[in-house]
Amino acid sequence: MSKLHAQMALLGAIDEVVSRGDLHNDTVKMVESFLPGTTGVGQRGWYRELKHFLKRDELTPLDSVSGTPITREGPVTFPSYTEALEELAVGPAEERSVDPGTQSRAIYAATVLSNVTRMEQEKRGQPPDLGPRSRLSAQTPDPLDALLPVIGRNNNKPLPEIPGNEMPPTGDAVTDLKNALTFVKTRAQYAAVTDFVAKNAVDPDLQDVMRRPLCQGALRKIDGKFCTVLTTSWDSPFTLRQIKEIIDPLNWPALCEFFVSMEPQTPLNPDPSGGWSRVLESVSGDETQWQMRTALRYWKGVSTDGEGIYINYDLDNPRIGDCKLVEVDAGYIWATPTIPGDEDSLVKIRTCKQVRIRGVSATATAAMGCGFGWGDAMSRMFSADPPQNNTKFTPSAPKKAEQYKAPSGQTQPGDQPSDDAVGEAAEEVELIDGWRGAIIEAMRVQLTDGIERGKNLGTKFAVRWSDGEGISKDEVAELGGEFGREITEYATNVFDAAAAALQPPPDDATKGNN
Amino acid sequence: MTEPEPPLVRVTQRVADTAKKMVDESAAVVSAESRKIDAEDYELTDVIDTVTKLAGIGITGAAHMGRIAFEEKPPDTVLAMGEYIASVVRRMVTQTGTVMQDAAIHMEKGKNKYSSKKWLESMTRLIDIGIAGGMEIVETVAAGPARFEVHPVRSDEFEIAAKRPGEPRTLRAGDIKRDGTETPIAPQKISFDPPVLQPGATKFAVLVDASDLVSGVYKGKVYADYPKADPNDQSPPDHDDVDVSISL
Repeated sequence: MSKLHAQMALLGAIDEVVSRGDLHNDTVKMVESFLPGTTGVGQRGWYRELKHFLKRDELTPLDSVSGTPITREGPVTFPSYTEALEELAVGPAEERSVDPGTQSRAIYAATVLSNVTRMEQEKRGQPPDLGPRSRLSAQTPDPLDALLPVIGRNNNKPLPEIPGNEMPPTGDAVTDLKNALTFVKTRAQYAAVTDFVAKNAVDPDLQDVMRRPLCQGALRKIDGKFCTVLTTSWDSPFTLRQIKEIIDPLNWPALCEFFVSMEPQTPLNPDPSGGWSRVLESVSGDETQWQMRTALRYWKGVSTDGEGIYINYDLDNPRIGDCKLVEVDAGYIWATPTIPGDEDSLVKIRTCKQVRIRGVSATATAAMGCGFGWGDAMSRMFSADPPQNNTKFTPSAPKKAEQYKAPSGQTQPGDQPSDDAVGEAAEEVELIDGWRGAIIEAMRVQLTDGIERGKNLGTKFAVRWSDGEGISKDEVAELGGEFGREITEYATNVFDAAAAALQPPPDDATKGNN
Repeated sequence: MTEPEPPLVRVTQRVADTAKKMVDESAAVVSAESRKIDAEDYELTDVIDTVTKLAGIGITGAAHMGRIAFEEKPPDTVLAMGEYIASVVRRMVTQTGTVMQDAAIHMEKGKNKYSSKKWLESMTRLIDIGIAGGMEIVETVAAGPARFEVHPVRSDEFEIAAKRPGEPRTLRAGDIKRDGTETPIAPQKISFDPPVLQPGATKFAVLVDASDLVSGVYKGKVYADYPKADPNDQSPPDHDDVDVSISL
């Protein structure tokens, strides 16, 4: 099982419990604070959407030796909640088997799940349902109890008192951290706790995990389409000298599990690159199940402020060998030394990824980018030790971009469709089989329900009004209360129906197509 | 003196007026078509014409509503959202047009009449365009304006030394672009905080409206222009300059 899929499954467990629609409002508000833009209509259900997307034929994995597609024996699978916890909590005691970026995100998800359980117990007297095999309850271990000991096991010396912790200090770093995280209600409170532990913990692994950055998401308009923009900012423990050894994307597959391969593209003749490096990126959370291949170009530059270095990347033109699902993929990784001009100074690392994937909502795209660490590879690394035969940072040099013409008889090199054709395909409406019917049915049910409720309320009103005695003040109050209850319930149902209709229907309702 | 109405009330009233106008115009078109139908002079190609006219009314109405949004000056994030919704509608109209054009070509082929199967295909495509576009809009509206990037993006702080201390300097952007590319950021997308450096001030930040700009590290120069003694002097102003790197 893949650690990345296990970590995504924990984030997915949050979405599934929200999508079920029976959480207390305060619990949903807490989740929204941690994972902004994931609980509303058209946002919840992103996990189901992501799983559906990863099944697409274009993402069929390739054999690493022969380069031929591997026949997928079953649908793309993610572990259940309990399997995910087990996967992330195992590993030899003496070494780290999960990278610190993945651990950091898993603890973030575990904190939300732990809080969901506590709040639901308090508000409704019962734990939330996380599926048939994973009902969270007093008997099921708290996810923080499962994950925190793994990272704090080497040196559990006491922490100073964590500000805001509602429980008294115990003298045990992991227990105190767990107690503090159990009561945080917002992303800002979480950041305050993890910052404090990063600065004060003795265990270097715990420090490392606590200081890994959180992702911020927003939307930006490019060519009339809105893209998901994911940013991180991180005061890293790495020096500029170290980063120069690893920042070139050709090194990433050796440093981060998510990057399956970075294959330099064969130079074209005439050469349209203009001095940019061209590469075919392949990424995956589990390379035996799916791989997404994107043709990129990147530029290695030196920034003006204290000799920082950066990588700018963008979709290649022409795109050769890629899966044609990514419509926008551009961004940067920028490392600036805290002491300008000093190679041995620690660096601040800022990343931004602007991405739009055909047929995938902004929320699911953001989950994929943030959850898998697509946009901020640097935060996933165990260390900044360069891999063997690494590609060192050397600034790109501009050269004249020549006009490339595909050989006659081909639309593009490699007989790929042209970029215009890709653009047109991206504009094509693609509805999954069964989805159209599901939406129409959902609308029909809601409209019928609305009419029925209106009819019942109207009838009651008419009966009271025409009973010969008119309507008394008490009756107005009574009918008003009933109107309020009915309309509130109806509005809630419509919200849930709309939320459900914006995501693909469950697997059993979709056949064919993907 | 009467209190001015809150913006939302004004917007609601104006949108309602526009919607009523659209309904009236649509009714006029349909009424004209119905006369043709009554006269048994209504061909299938007229159906296309009708739909095109109705779509035109829709677009004009949408554009008018868009203008209302601009005139009422809602916050930038709301505008960005409105603009996005308009772009989805435009795309839907284009897609709808393609389907209708295809249908028209088939009909005009004469002998090979537009079969019921083809009608079904066209209708299905139209329904799908409506549903998919609708979903995209609902998703965007649901996301809410807060999810839209705050404009402008603010850079780190830069420092620009003054060779003529004691004079104010007006900041101006040179070509700021990604290395390896040709197109600089349009000057109207760039502003400064503060726009003018008062005597003694040396620090400023660059503000960039990042919409339609590809994410990346952008590099270039910023100039701080000294005032000219003679306002009619056409020569370039005396200035200081500094290299800047901005991440968008």
